[in-house]
Amino acid sequence: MKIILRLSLALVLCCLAAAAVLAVADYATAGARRTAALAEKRHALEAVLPEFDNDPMAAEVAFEVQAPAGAKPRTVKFLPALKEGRLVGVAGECHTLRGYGGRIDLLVGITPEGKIRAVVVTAHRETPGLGALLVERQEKPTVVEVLRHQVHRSVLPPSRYLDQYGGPALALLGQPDVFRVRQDGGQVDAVSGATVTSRAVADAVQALALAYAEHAQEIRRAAAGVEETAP
Amino acid sequence: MKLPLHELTKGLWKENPTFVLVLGMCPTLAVSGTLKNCVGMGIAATFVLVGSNLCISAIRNVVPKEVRIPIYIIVIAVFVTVVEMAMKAYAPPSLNAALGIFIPLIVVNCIVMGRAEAFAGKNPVLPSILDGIGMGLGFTLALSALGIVREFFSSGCLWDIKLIPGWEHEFLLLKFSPGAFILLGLFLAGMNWLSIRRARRQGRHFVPAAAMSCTHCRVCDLSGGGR
Repeated sequence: MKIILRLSLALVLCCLAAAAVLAVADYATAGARRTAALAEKRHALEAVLPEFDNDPMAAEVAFEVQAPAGAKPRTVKFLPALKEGRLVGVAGECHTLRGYGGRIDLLVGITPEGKIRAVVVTAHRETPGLGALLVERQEKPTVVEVLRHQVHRSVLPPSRYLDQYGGPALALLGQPDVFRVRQDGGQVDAVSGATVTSRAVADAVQALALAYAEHAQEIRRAAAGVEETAP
Repeated sequence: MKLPLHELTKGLWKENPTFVLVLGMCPTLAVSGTLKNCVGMGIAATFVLVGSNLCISAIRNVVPKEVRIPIYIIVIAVFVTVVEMAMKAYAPPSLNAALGIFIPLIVVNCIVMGRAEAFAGKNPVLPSILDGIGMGLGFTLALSALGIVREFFSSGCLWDIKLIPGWEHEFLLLKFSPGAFILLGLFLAGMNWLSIRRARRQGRHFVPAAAMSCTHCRVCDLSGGGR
């Protein structure tokens, strides 16, 4: 009995110490982490939207979407972007919990006409080399380009999977049903060996499309409201 | 103060965690697809190894041996979480993008637990730190060897630079885990052959890893037997 008490005490003390260390680390880094996350989000916004001069994050509107039917409702946010007082695009923030490693967060650039412009993954826990290949945008310069210092770093590097969103079959947000992989009846081409990730990203875009279809008027009104208050 | 440098160099070849101790196979197979991922994983793993070896060696005399495994796991998990938070807060975005995904994967890397149990739990702090550095470097080198072959033969690239322009078709066998496993086996065979040849030239008998004496490794002995 005495042994069990001694061992239990050791474990409890260890867990308390661990909790204390984690709490301190969380508190100490919270501010810096928030700043870094905001800077990253700003960078992602600049990648998916055309040039803008307002702060889209300050004007965001959020909606609850239940997709697919029976699932827990998810929040989808729309961030209008203006240039010289006119709406140039809206960024849609959506996510899915069905990634291979869990949650995948997307930022989707939407034109004022309601078409997808570009998709960028802002957070994920997919396996490096497998699911992560889909969601990371990367350029592969040839060795000749590197030797001649001709490497071109674009703001939005290509990604075969992500670039199909915005292509002819997958542009209009008014048709949520196309945003499913072909095996499930949609128009999204999955990548072999990474079906779970392919499905998950399509799921997130479908939630975005559903939110957009349901609340198109409200989004336009919100954007118009921001336009009016812009200098 | 004399540095026990052999604790560091043993991790590079003689007790290489991937090819000799055969630890951490899951992340090895998954991550070694591209050279960039290998180096990223290796650097992150080395950092965690050194830190966790340090912490566990520091508390080795106060931890009751019957519950040492759960306590080691807690220490490693806390260390990794703090590292992840610090990276998210202070590291430049390019470094975060490159290494961020590997950090959570390292908690389940058997190399960290294996070295904690086999070495850091029974040795002073300085040799444990050197052991961490050596094992981490050995892991990085082993991963990179695999990664170079896998990346080049599956996509014609190295470090995301296309060495052979126009190579579009991928050699899928090496791109995924089964080919990685086969490649790992070939590397193991090659290393054993080299060691046997070297031992024969020196007039002694080479004992490959499976027959190595267990006195310095306690991984089998997790049920809390005598120290």
